[in-house]
Amino acid sequence: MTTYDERTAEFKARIDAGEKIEAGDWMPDEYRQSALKFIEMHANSEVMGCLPEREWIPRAPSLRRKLSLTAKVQDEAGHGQILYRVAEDLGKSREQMFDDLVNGRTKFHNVFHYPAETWGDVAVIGWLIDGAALVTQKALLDCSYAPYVRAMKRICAEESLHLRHGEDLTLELVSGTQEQFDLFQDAVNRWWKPIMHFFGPPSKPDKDVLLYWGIKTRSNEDLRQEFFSTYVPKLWDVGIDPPDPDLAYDEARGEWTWADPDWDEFWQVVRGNGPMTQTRLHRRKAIWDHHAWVRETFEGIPAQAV
Amino acid sequence: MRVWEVLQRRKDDWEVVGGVKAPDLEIAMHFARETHFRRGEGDTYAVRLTGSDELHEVPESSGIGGVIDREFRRMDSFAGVGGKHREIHEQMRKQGRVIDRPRPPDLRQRRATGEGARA
Amino acid sequence: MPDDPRLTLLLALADDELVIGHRHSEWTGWAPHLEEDLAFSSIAQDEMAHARLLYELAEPLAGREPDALALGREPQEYLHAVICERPNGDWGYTSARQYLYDLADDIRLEALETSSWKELAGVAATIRLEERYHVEHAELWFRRLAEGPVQARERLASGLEQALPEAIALFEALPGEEALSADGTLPATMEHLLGRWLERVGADLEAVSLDYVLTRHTRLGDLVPTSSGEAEEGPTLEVPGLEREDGRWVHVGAFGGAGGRSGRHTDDFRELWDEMTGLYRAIPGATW
Repeated sequence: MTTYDERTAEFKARIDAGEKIEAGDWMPDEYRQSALKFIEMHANSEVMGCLPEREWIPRAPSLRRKLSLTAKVQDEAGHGQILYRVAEDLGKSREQMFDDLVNGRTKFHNVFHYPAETWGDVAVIGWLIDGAALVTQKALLDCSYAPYVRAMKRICAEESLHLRHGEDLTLELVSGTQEQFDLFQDAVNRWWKPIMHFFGPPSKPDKDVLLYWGIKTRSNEDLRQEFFSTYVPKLWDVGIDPPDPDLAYDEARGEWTWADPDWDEFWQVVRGNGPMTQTRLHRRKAIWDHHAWVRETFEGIPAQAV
Repeated sequence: MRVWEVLQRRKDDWEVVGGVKAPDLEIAMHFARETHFRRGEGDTYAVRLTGSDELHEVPESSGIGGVIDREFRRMDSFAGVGGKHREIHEQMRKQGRVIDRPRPPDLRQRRATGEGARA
Repeated sequence: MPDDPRLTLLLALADDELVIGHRHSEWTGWAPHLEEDLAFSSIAQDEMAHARLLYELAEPLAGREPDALALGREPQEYLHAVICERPNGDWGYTSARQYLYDLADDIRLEALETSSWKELAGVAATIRLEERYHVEHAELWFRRLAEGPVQARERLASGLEQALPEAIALFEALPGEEALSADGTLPATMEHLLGRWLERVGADLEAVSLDYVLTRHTRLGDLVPTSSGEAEEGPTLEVPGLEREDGRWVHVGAFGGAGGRSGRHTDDFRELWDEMTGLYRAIPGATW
């Protein structure tokens, strides 16, 4: 009879060999908890990520954008739906996860704690932030937990569409009137710091629990470098300059240098003190609490004979 | 509230593509159309209560993905965005507005030689 | 007010769809149940896409392209019924309104499918195919809430009571309607369609013992658009009362005054219009 430690070691060896874990498999508690927490936070981020952009659906300046923005925010809610489903199978109900989220007990990504002030912000969110998200999400396609990998396949496919839409929206702005160009540059100036925060502080790979269990497969720095290489030249090529004077590609070392963003602000926001954190959570909580009667309606109806 | 598996038809078989939370079969079928098939992925779909063997196929296929043109939801509707970017870049170059600083070797070239980060 | 009755008809239909689609879309991202969020967002998108189809049909008559029609007119030029511009409130009101609206839409589309104006008949038929999902959605929620826990039933009933008079106003006569009836563009009068709608709504409400909502509406109501600023000409809209006659619900008396179909809206629309059209109007001629 193998001990818990022996089974855990075996499990780790399987992951290191590239094997994938399914929902019904035995897993060490630390793996289950790490995966659940990571996927729950991802799901939370998708539903909270709806909030900055949904403010612009009523204000979209053309029917086409009104429709595509609605479809995009719908997709994000859909990603939340997919991810909560995966997380539920790891042992926590969606109702509990939602309740924890709106009551501030669990977290969502920093980048969704900021206001979407102008249509320029919609472009930045739609192109650069979705671009950053896609970089990290593609890395999850190699994750050790198979249900999460399957979810990420659909999510990445939809995010690629969002990205093109975001770029299309951006290109209209930078090639439009001076006012439109300025709208986008101004938004980039305000969003650059949260985008740098998006990848997290430079991590110590050997201390990263998520890397250990194969839930994350690439380091924060690796992902940030990929983001720079993909998006900074594209911004420069249309005359847009990120507000970091230290941002430069070091040809000798083959990597980007960049100024440390304010990591104090990062930790503040992680703790729930972002500019829009409380406003958004309160609004969500108000809707959630008010509509308990809807949940009761769904819980109370006897199941039809199947 | 139950979890209902949502299935897509692939050739001769049904494949689980996700799940919905709904109080009963009727609502589960109604939800599944928009949670998993709003882009018209397939002519038909089915749901199955988790733990049960019984598959419930949607009675008729019309309506999945809608009838009118939903270009705002489709992959191909924003194709050509790369070309648009190049065009605007060209215009900006002529106006002297491009920010010309050192950058990694061309992405396409990097892909061809296999070096650099996964794109 | 457009001179062309066909244009009036198209704008009334399109504006209804645009404005209610706009309201429905405000639930995207935070509806009470995640799967419902997705379903309802699709319904919102459908309505706005239907509006676009109708504006495209209107373009040659109006001499303005769809975005200019949707986002470039003054508030009093919009011809939607006031029910569409009301804020979403809670899910009880939203469900009640969606039910009343989509049933009305289905009935008028059914009539328009036989319009003598072939292009409109075609568009109506296309839109009606998609409306099936909307009606299914409306009926699912209607039944679940009506037959659900006490609070659910109360919320639905309260929503229905609130929405009913303004839902009746969906059938306010269109300016120039006589011409549309004469040439078969409008195969049935708005009043006739109201009768059909009341029959269905009445039967549905009776089936779940919520017909008291209709009973509370037996007198001629007085819908007062609470708009400020613009000079109002003529009396505000009054809608017919309701009665049960020979086992079915019918309207009693006629409409009076003028409401949404003549461009008379409430402060709610002023706010909605500011928000919906602000950016479009801020940089005229810009492409987005």
